[in-house]
Amino acid sequence: MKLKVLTLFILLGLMVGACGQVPVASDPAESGGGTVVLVIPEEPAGLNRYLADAAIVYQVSDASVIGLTTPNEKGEYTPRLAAELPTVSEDQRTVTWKLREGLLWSDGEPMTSDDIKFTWEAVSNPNSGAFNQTAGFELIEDIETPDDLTAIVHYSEPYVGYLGQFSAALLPRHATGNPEEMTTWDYNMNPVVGGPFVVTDWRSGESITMERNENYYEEGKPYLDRLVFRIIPEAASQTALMKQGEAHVHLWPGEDKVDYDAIMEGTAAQQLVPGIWNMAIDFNLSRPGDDDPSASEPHPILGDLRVRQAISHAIDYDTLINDVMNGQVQPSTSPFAYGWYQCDVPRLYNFDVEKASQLLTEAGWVEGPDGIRVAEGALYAEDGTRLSLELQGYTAFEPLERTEQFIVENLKAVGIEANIQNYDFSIIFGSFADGAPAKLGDFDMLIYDRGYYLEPHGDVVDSYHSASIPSADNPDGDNSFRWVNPEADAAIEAAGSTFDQAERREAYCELARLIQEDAVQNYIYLFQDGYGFSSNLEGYTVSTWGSMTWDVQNWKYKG
Amino acid sequence: MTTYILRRALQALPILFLLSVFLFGVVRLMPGGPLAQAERNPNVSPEQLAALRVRLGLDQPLPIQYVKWIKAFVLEGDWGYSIKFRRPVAEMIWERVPATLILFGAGFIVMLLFAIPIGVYSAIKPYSFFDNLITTFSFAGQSVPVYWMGLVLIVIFYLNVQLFPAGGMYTIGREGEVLDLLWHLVLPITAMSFSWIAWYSRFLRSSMRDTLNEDYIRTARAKGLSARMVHFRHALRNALLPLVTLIALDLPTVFGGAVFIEAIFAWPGMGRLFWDAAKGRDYPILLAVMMIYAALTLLFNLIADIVYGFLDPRIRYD
Repeated sequence: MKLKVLTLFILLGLMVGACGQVPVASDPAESGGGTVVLVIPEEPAGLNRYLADAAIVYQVSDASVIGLTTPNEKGEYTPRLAAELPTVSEDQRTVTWKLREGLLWSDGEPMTSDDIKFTWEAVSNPNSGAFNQTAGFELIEDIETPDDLTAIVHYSEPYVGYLGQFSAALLPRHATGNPEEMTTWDYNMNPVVGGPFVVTDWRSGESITMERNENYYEEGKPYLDRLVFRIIPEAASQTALMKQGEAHVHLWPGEDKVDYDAIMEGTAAQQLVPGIWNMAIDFNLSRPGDDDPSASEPHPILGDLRVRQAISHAIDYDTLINDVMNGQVQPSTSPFAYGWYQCDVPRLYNFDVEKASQLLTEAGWVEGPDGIRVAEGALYAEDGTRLSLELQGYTAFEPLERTEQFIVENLKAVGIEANIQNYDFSIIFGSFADGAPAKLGDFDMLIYDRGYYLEPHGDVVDSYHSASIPSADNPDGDNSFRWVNPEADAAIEAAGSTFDQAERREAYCELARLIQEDAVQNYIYLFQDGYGFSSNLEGYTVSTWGSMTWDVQNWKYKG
Repeated sequence: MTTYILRRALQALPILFLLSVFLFGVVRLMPGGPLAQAERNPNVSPEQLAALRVRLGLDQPLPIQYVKWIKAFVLEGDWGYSIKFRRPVAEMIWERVPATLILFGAGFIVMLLFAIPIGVYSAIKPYSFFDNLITTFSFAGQSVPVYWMGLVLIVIFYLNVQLFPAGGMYTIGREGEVLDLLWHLVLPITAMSFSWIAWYSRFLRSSMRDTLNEDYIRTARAKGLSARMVHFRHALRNALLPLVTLIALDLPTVFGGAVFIEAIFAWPGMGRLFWDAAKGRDYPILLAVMMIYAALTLLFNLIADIVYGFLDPRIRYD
């Protein structure tokens, strides 16, 4: 018996030996082509953008499924399948799209304006089950297709997001099916597309392979021949594949950039790009816990502008960003820190401990026996009140906890006591009826990350307009600071009255300046998304508005 | 015998029913839900979210959801659709069974090939140098967490020596080739069987030691039989008996898959399916896997008892 076992193992050893060296999965060609392997941590549910339940769908589908336009790295819509950006009628209710000439679907069928019409029919069908990126479709009354290239879209009212209406995906009428059965279409896992790559193999739990789309509209592109998305759940295994050069693109590496680049020793490097999640402290200007959600009674401590300024002066932003957050975030000073509406307003109340102390003393807060200041002639607080505030965030998010602890230390240094109070996500962001502290105005300082997508206006109105102060009559309002500033209202209204992006940006920048001046909100930093790219890849651009594969047609592999 | 089997089967029904209520409750008590990511997606409106909940039946009271699920599951054999993938759960489970069977089948064989000789040898020569060495390794093997072991193997044999692949079942483009599969099996099986070998060989050692102290072994020795004959014909056969129960009880875990091993080595088996479903709160998949697991555990318990009766004539079921 022993002998047999031994023989078996010798045989096994021989077989293993026969397998030889670890093969490199890619065979780089001189033309910049070849196979590129991308590691992703989870499997997308499908590539139908209108059914995308998670961000991973975008990361894979962007290499294949495209629409009429795509937002570029600056957040500006650029034409893809459309020949140019659409023209808009005088009353802003009619939008005319032109397709590029001679477009073919990946199966060789011609792409026509009827496919634009079908996309609207399918997505707006109430029984289709489509739920992602469907905004604006319900406002479309009809689509005319006078010829194969032209689609005239009639809206019931002007829709500010019209440039992105068909940016998610164009659905082929001939290769999908009944809109009512969208959730079970074959298209979802094997889509006929207009983008640079086409799915050829999908192995559940293992990999998704895409080959070059020979019918892609850009001459000579894509440069690569094949993409293989490997589904590797374990972060350390992903890093090992990158380190060995077996994989070339790494979605959301587990390590911070400094550590990651050190591990890779030049094989690959992490590219950071601003995300949309913006960390800030909201100050409550109204008295908390007085059953009055309005700002009529000022907050005993934070009602005084000088105290809010002092808090902003007390935070050591550079140390927080570079050391505490390990450089994985970038400084931010306003809600408009990225995108076409980006405003680079300088920080008005920067790190200055002396200035902070001086402001607090001026405001009638003098040093108490235990180092925490107490009121002595303060504007709204009774004498003897301790300068003690609650800092509220949400639980189970480690970077937020790290930030909170650092800020508490900073505030202590100028004589302010801050107590961290973290609640479950659903409580912090709950509704008025749920009694969420932000809605009721029962808080001192809220700290969390918030963000806008390409069209921010609805959220801007909800957050900053004086008509958006939440109350029983206005439960959806989000002006949790209870900030009333007629200049701010005017700027918001100006931004909402035009489609012109330059004018709108101007107005948003004015708002950003007022937010700083009144110190109602203190922006700290912006989270960044990280992608690992092999040093053998070139031609890529990382973008806030696209996934890692948004410009895959431009990638080149240099062996 | 038939009445015995019938009785056991009937006993299993209320257990399975209680389990189904319990599992359904536990799964739904987990914080978050299948729509957690969609809820934080700025491109999904609250109206669309509400419509989605209605579509998936998540808006109904839990007892009603339970009754609908158990009715379809038991009466119609319909395990439902995955919330995330919108594909039939039965189909998705079936797709993952071969990968897990290959991993566990190969792992089990390797384990037995090592565990039996080691266990027998250390029982025959207790407290010898070899036995002490094995004892040390066994404790190490049972203490080392399997995911740590997996990562160490990847670092050594993939990053440093570059002998074996870091994960996956096949090299891309060589799907279905047996040699390629075996090559990919080496690291996961090594990581997995390390603790198994430790555990099973220790078990066999003590079982074999007990048997060697039995009267019939002394009788066999007194008859003048060779040591080889005594050890393998008389002792080992009896010492393997308790092992049968152990194996039978371990077999259903095959169905649950090796969550850690499959995650570290990106193995497309049941463990991965279960783990992904747990992370995404894909209730229909979670419940189906757990219910099958429960039913298989009961079934294999029964099988172990029956096989025991065949192997040991002293045991009778009436």
